[in-house]
Amino acid sequence: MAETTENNPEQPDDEAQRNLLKKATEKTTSYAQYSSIAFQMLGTIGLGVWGGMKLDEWQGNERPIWTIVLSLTAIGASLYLFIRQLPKY
Amino acid sequence: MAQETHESAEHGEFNVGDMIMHHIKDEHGWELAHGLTIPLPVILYTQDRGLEVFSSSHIMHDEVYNGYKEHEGDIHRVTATGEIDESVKVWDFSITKNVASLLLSAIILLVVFFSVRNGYEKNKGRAPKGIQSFLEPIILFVRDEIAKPNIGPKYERYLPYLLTLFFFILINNLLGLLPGGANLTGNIAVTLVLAVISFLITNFSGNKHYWAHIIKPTGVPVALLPIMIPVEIVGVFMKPFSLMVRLFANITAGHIIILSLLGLIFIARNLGGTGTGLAVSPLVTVFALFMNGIELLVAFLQAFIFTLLTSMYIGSAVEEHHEADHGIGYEGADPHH
Repeated sequence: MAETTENNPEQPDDEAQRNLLKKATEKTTSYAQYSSIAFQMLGTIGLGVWGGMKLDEWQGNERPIWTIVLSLTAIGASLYLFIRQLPKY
Repeated sequence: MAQETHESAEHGEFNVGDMIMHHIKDEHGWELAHGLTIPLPVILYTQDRGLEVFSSSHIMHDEVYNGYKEHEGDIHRVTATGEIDESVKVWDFSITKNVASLLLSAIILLVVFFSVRNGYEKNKGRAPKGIQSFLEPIILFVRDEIAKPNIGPKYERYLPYLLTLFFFILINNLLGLLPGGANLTGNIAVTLVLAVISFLITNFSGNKHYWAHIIKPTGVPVALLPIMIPVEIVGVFMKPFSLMVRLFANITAGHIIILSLLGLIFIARNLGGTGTGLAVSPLVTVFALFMNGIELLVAFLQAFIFTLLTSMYIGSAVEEHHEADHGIGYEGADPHH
């Protein structure tokens, strides 16, 4: 982006607008990323719980052992996937 | 998309929930206003009768036509006495409101972009003209701000898809805001297809680093691999899943908010008579206009975000990996160290 601003030294308005656009783009990018991660966590946990319930139903378990194990695993997995997608500083 | 609701209120028994769902859902026949419905072709396939095509006007008001009847949006076979016959599986390939809107948007996109292409041929070496000069900054924005920084040096081969995606979502979001428009991008089947295409492109362009990270994440003890590999695989599927849900949820939620606001007028009328209804309508109009303005912004924003995230996912699949490029600092931030 630095090149584009250097190309227009005589147009401060244009430059300000470009910077504004750049900032807005950056903000939207991080918003998009984090909201995406939220949906991914929801999906992961949902998948774990659903899979667990199906397994318990299939095996006819009296105690919902698969639901417990898989939902807890899914919560861990969603946290892992969340941390992995954080920007690397 | 909501103006026609004024007419759809049945006196005395107005149900906001039904009104909202009616406007969000797909339908056979395109209702522009109460009493003004464009009939669309109904195309059915059943094993015993084969393919059948007729106009949706025949089955509009719960009428039975040719042994078929519409019940809560689905077409069922009925018996001689008029009961719904569940034993016959009806495959419905109708050109519904959403399909018609999809075809319309495809025509608009083709017309617009062929004219843009012709513009580049005619004005070669000169400044862009007309619709070409309106769309050029948007095309360049998708290229320079979305594709280039997120995909890297190989961005060019993905640009046709990313541009198509961007303008397809944008035009359908905007068409959905028109009075009488279809809620196409708020239909989960449509967003599912878009997400699946993004998923396929991402995974088919994945390089060895991308797959190595899934099959054997770096720095993970062997004992943990039976857990980590399924988790990584789930992660691969959850990315397009989040794309699908976000677009669907945002567009549908926006429509529901506007429709609920307009529904307030009828609720007020039912509670306190016509005077109350008239009294709240100016305020509701202001809110609804404001929400429409927000929706206009959301239409652009969601097209941008879908394209942005798709290019990020593609970028993560094609990037040449850290070790050589960024050194230790990068790896040190990896969570599994």
